[in-house]
Amino acid sequence: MTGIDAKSLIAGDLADRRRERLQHFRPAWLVAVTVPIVGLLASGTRDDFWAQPTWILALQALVWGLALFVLPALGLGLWFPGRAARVVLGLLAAAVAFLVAAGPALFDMSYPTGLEDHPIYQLGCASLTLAAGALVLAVCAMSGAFAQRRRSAGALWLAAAIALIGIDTTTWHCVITGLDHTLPSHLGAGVLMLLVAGLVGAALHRRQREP
Amino acid sequence: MTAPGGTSDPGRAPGTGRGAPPGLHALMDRYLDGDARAFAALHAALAPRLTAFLVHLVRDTAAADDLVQATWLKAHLARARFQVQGASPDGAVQAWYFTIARNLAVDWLRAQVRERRRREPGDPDGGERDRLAEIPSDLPTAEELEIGEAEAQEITSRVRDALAQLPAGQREIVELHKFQGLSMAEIAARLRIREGAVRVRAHRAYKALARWLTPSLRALLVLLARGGA
Repeated sequence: MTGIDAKSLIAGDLADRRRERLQHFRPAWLVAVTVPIVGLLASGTRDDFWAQPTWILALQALVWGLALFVLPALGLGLWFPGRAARVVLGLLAAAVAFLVAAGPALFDMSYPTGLEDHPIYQLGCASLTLAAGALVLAVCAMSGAFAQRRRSAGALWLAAAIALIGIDTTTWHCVITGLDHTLPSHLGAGVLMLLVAGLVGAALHRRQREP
Repeated sequence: MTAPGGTSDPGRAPGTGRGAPPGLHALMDRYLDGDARAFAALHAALAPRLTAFLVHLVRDTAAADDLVQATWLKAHLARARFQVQGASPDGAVQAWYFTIARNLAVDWLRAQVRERRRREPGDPDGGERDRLAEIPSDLPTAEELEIGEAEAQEITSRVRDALAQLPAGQREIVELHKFQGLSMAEIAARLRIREGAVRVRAHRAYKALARWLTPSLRALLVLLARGGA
């Protein structure tokens, strides 16, 4: 008997791989975090930012947490929750994205600005959502993030993170809370971003993982 | 003794999909993505079966234990090649491990036959040939699973990558020593340097190689170097 314990050696090897993955993606993650910060510095945060209800601010913070930490950890293969936890996370991400965009109007905390159905603002917010998402998508594509999981469905977690970054960046910028505006130009653009990022991610996954 | 594959006969091939514990494929999938907890669960599910299978094949508990460790390490190094074949994904995982285990057992038994012949030229094979004939044949072959070649390629490429990182002077000495089998004195004569300098360079090179090769690969090389595993 050699006294070699394959189980602990393999566990150590997997831990090393996880550390390497973490190190590899740290710069890309920092760049991705910089995108909404620069976007908000350039376009300005909403005037009523601190006047928003606490639960809305908490929801927005939860969206940032999901978009910048939880979903990337899942998509990059750094964290492996069970099936039930994954389903809960998926539903939670969809619910908070909807509530962040439509919550104030649905809970009667919206105030009219007269700009709700103005096409310029709709186009502007949709562009901001898509631009923030597209930049993070480019970072993910160049860093090889979509190819980390064995199944291409893993790319969906990153696509969801990208869409949430777009939605939350716009939410922190735009003061309009009416549904006529937020549903198409915040949430709608976010869903479009999710679809685009999902398709691009799946295609890159196939290309980058092929021998 | 637990029968591999859930059968009453420990020698029966367990890798044809019948009797595979449920959930093996889900665990394998997560392990291949890098989930250490899934690997631990996979190990817990398969290790007793693999041990029983190998003890039955080689009839030597210590050797079987080494072969079980080598099975896990070989499967780990070749894991990127794992694919579901056949109707049962759980059975495919079991077949993957048991095929690697069977191949290692065959190699070990052949090495025993060679060793016995070398030591005692007049002696027949001491039963190892009979045991080779008992090896179950209803498992997929290594070629069918594309692992025999794959694991060898994986090991070779990793060692080659590590060698390529050495300075030229050290790499030359390792190649002359390990691949051409020259002694330190012969290398010194060929390179026209002092033997002490050769030893120093070789020591540095092996130390660097040990650092660069992953612990799992180093352990597998140790196991492969022993007993024909």
